Amino acid sequence: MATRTQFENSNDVGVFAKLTNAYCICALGGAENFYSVFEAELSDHIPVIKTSVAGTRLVGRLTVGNKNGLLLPNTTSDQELQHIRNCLPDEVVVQRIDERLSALGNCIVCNDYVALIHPDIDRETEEIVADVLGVEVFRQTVAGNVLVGSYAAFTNQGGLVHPKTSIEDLDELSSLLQIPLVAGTINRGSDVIGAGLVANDWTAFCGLDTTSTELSVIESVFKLRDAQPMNIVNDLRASLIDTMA
Amino acid sequence: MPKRKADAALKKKGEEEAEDAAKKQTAGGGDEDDSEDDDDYEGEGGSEEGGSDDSDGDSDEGEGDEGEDEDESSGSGDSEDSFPSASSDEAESEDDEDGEAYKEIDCAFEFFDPQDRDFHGLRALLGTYLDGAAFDLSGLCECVIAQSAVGTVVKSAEDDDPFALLTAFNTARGAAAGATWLAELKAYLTTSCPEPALREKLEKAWSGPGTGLLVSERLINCPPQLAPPLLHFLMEEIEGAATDPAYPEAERSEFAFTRYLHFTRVYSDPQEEEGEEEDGEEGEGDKGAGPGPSGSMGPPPPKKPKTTAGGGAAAGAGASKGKQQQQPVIVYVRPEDEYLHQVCSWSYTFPVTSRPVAKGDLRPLRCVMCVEAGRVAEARAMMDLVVGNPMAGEEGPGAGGAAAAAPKQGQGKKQEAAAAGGRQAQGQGQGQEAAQAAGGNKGAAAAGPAGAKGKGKAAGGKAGGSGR
Repeated sequence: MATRTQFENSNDVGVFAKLTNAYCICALGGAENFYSVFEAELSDHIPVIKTSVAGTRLVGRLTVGNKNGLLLPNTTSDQELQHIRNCLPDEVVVQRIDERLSALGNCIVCNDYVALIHPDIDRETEEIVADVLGVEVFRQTVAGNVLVGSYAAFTNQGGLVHPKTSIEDLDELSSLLQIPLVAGTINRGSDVIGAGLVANDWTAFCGLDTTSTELSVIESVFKLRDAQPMNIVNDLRASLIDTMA
Repeated sequence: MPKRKADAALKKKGEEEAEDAAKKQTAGGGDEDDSEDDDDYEGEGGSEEGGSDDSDGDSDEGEGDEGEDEDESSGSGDSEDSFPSASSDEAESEDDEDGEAYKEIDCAFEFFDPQDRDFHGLRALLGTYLDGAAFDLSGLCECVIAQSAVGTVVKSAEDDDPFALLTAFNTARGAAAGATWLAELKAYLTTSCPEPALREKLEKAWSGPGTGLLVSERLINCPPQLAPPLLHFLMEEIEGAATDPAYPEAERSEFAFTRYLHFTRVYSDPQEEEGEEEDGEEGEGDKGAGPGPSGSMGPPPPKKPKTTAGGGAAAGAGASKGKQQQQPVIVYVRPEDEYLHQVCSWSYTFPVTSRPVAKGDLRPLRCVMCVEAGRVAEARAMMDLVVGNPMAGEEGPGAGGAAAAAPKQGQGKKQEAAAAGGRQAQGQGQGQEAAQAAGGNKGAAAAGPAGAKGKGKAAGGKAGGSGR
């Protein structure tokens, strides 16, 4: 199920939160609304933690992670690193890396198996990503944009990319990632998908301005829709009698 | 002082790049609120943490000084005699990579009507309009875009996001009057108002006919030269909408404003406050902090109390009142605020609590003031004298005329304002003659391109040199 929410009037949920299958990280906000939305949905299943990264609230854009690990920029303070390490389960490897392109969330996007990275990322970082996150790494662009983390969001089930991605690019990415991809927008026409949306295998959060069309696209590509109603329509259709004549 | 200008130059340069970069590049995606983070981001400025904090406070203070603090004028540091250490600073300047610390940058600002394409940009700009409180931001942006008759955004190109917005809504009638955001704004202003008397005045002004709420937001550290053209367009459009026979009568009367409610951002200087015995006169029927203390340029003002229109500003008044911290020493970062505040009928300020503020920094405040429509022209005239108005035509002999000559183009694109670079630096200390010399220079420079596509050139460096 996809939920609409806002962080202090900003629809850019993906800037202030990082969501994976094993944990969720939120920014420290003035109001508790944002955190409580995540808590309500997720806290039964995964830890939801609040932290700052490098003294900022941009946790979604500065960090990247999946169920295996979490990578933090070199600007993260020691206290923040310790706090995050304490809060996350032990299976999740938390590592701070030295990379010139420090907004890891903008430069790297990943699910539990595959990652796309900014073409200019260091070799060492690429290896660390492959190591810590346990993924296969590809240097790619999305719709001609090098900031793959800003313009694409994907989970193990499916992904959403920049609306101007061509069909060929879509096919290429889809075969690389081995998941269905769709080009679309978020937050009422914004093309910065990664900033506007966070998703994991069973839930997604987007900005309040997301139209119902956009929301239905998200729910279908990330396979979030509740299975039951569709079953009735698809599987049982043959046995339903619609008309008498 | 020169270092502060230099820092302002750095910030401006970094800000320009950061603005383009902030949306697309590494840190800061989508969150323009964290302007403090921009300081950290300007790594190429190479500023240390402390250094950039200082310059933040300083350059804010500087820009409160009637627009004197301008990167263009400080650009050619060598030719400025009164800022000798600017050149010596170059050696140890923070931006040492190319020794380009004080390089001038040319900025082109274009003025447009708000359009649908600006929706997301306006959302980013107006996100903190109520200081973090949730409100119907999309509704506000839609109202801004829908009101085609009145309203201006400043962008560097048609496709870019807006840097600044100025528009006016009738609080009692018209499309915006029933809007959710307007009610939320009113609630916010009412609850933040420190006194019941002012609350009543606000209520009365809000519900009365002919009250225009000015919605004005600007990226932090926008050059002060944007303000005169913005106000010029606003007033021109309001007058046009109020008198144009093409509009139906109902719409015309919507824009027949008799007073304006101005809700803006100012800062208070904690160091000034500590050193002063507050006069303690509230803004009832008076201006806020008088013009003296607000100009924090030059030698710190002696321990004089805030002036009030009523009593003489005798030092005795300060001691006798005994009320402390009633009226903070206000530092204005937008030039029009200072003059509007001087001519306003009443005003109040309240602190912004949503952001943490470092100890020595200026404290952010919000200021609400009510200005009678008749007095706006006065305020604008004062501002134009100091900041310079390329639209007016009375100021620099060549420049104003040339700039005003290009007609308002179609598709909602407005006049491109020629930035009056060094003029305010001159206007401050040098009097009229240097201003005219600068104006003449700039006029010559502007007259050439103005015919074709007059972009605002920062001719401050040359003008500054000629003024000596």
